[in-house]
Amino acid sequence: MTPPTATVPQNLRLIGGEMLVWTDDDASADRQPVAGPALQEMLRDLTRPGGRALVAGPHDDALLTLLAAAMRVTCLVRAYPDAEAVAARHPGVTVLCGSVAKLDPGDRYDLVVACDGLDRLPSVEGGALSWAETAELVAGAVAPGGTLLLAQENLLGVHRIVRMSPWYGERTDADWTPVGEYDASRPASPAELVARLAGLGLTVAEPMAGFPTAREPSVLAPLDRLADPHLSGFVRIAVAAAYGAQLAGRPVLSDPRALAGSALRAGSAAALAPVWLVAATRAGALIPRQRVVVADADAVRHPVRYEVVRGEHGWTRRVLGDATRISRDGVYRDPAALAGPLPRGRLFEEQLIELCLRRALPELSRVLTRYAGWLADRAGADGTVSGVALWAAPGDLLGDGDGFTPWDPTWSTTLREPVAVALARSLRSFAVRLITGGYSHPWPVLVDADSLTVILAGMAGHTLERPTLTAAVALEARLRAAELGLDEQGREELHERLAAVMPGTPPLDLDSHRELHAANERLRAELAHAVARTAWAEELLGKRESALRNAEDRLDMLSGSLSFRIGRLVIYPLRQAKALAKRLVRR
Amino acid sequence: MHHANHFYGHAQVLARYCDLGELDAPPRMLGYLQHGWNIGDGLAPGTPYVEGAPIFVWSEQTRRRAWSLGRRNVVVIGAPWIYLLAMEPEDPAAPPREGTIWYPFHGWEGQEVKGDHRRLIDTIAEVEQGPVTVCLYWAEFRMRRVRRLYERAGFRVICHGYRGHWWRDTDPGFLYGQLAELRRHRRVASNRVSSALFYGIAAGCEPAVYGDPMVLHAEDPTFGGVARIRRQWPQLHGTHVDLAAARAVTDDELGTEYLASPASLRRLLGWEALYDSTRRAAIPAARGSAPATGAGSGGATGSAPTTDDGAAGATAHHPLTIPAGAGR
Repeated sequence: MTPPTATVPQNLRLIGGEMLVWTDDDASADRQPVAGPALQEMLRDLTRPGGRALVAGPHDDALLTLLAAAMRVTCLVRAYPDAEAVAARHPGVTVLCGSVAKLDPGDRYDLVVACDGLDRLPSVEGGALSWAETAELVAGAVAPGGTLLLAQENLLGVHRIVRMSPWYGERTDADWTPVGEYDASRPASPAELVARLAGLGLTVAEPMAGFPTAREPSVLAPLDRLADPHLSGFVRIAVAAAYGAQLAGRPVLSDPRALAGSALRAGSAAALAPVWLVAATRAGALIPRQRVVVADADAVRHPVRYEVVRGEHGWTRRVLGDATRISRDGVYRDPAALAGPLPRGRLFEEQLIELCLRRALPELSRVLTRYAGWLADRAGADGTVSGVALWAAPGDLLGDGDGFTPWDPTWSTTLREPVAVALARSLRSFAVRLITGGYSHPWPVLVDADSLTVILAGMAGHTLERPTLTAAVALEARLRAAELGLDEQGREELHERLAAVMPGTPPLDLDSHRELHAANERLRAELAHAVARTAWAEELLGKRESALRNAEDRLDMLSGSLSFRIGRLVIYPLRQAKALAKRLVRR
Repeated sequence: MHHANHFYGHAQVLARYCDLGELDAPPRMLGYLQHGWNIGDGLAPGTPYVEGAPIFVWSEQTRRRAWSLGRRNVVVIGAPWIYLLAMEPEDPAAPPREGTIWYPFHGWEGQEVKGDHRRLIDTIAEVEQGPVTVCLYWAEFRMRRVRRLYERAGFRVICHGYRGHWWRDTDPGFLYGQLAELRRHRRVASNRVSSALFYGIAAGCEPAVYGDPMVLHAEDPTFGGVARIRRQWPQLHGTHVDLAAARAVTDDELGTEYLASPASLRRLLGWEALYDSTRRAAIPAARGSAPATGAGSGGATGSAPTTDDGAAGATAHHPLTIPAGAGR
């Protein structure tokens, strides 16, 4: 089990407690290093050129590269294969392989980075460490005037709530002792985290909440600032989008977007954020500036990253990183469009959902008519729409007074479509959301996406014809495929799934089991209705058949009667004469 | 689904609004249509219900009530009357309205009204200033004794027709005739709040509810009956009531703001296929204020008498507004 000394890289040191056949980087086991552009942006602010940095625990290469470019970096990982890989990829980084308990207590660092949390720092070798014991070791490595950037996963976070298995029931290889919240020293709130760190001589200026997952938070927001409704309204939208992007296709208990939305609306971000991020400083260290960082996860095609800062005139967005415009298949993303004041307004989709839940049809009609008017105003002389107006569905727009603004103006398209197709596609995407999300709405439960679209368009004052609906589905498939980077086959599949949205269809993007259950209930209702209708039709058929038999009997009786026969005899010559006349006329 | 959907020619009115063209018979709906003003769940008590079928009700209040009573698939589309009004705008050149149209409360075929017609006649004569038209339910209209009572009082006595039963003998012009009569009169009155009262208010009449409410024999007290109606809608009761308040209640109860577009209604009622076949036949039906014409065999289609002949026309500004796209 000992690696041959000759093959151990020069920059790798085994310090004891190392796990020789283990890895903390196994995507197939859902076990990967912490990562993400948002954390990169946080680190960028904390680097001290020329200083010493300790990266404790598994962090992805981009984070290490960023730090190594400015600081002398030491990296601590417990798994030997991971250590070997890091050492090979980052020759300038000193890699320590082993348990955190074996760190040299005399070593001090200007910056200690533990964005992966503390759980993966102890090893199976040696005694188990509590959270407090691990924290003490890590805090001990922070030099006077130094900073600890620590991310602490919240076991009550939205990502955990929607997870298919609870932390106490996990049976993966990594769960050899799943103590979780029963470790009394483990902080259960940002306040507790701050207090524990204070006990270790570290001060936290303002804890941040990270969404949508602990492994790759892509929205980071200072908790205290979320009291501002303008900012928190925006963060809510950004978080929902981040969940959609990161959890697509993965089995979850329920739609995390709804849950995170409720949490933020209720001011419970601290309680339900998947991760708390703190920059804890020793006296003399610089306090990092406060801002919201939004950075698309690595999996997103055409990712952008930006920060939201408080300026003179309220919240402003500033583009971070690469601002090159990228395009594909008629859809493009232009990060530069983000710069400027944070738009105000309420998410249009949210407003529509509320009006549906309230059954406020007259108001819904007014709002949809306004939207259709706004869309028509954006049409060119030829009656076609392009750009952001064509791209944006209700989930992309903020309603602000009479107008609409995209909350993320980076997306746009060069495609052109008639206003009716643009409207149909936009309303249909909302109809799909309403049906697949299992929302209560004002129309029959058993209505399909096309019918719902026609009804919504009717409320907006438009009549949609069948070809328009067909074109709308094709447009939606094309835009989404370009956004998600799907190939021709992927687009075809998406097109088919979009076209086939029926009352019993579960969400198309998330494998969400609560919504799946709701879809199943709708299918059962549909089946029960079909059975009841068939029975009703049978019964009615029986009644109508008997009515028909009675009528036939009466007809027979009347045809056989004497008066009928006499009548026929009387009429016979007249009928003959009429037929003869007709023949003559034809000639 | 239920034959009550076709009462009063409701189905024909909606079919015409939906541009279904000429049909041999009124189209079948994929659900239950509320056929009269209702203080229950929108369905007549005891209507056999096919599980999961939508119930199309007139007002949001009825929908909420129906939900609370265990109904789930309840959809507000407004009363067929508002669709009729959308298709039959009032002629601005119609002669001025005069007098009162009075609807003595009636039961239905299975019920018998207990009350004193004579006392009611005295009350009407006392209150009403102008000429009075009394509109009797068909069952009472056929009772010569009752009819004579009103005639002797100097009232004009009419009947709007037969609402139909089991899809037979429905008078498709029922509501058109009623609308024409209402538009001749300045006032609409009854001894109880009823569909006819709301129809009258929506058609521009000033309402009044007074006189002996005439208790029905074996009236179903489930929903509180007359007393509850008085408690809930006191603003409609009296010989002269506040018109604005009455119109507001009418808009709520008839679902004026819930008028669906023809395309939406076709989807909701399950008439999309019928519409497609109409259009395949490539006979674009003439639209606008002209009523659909042509009865098919059996006279059971949307044959509609014109309403302009007798329509009297105070330019009652009606609260009903037709959203863009509706009626197109």
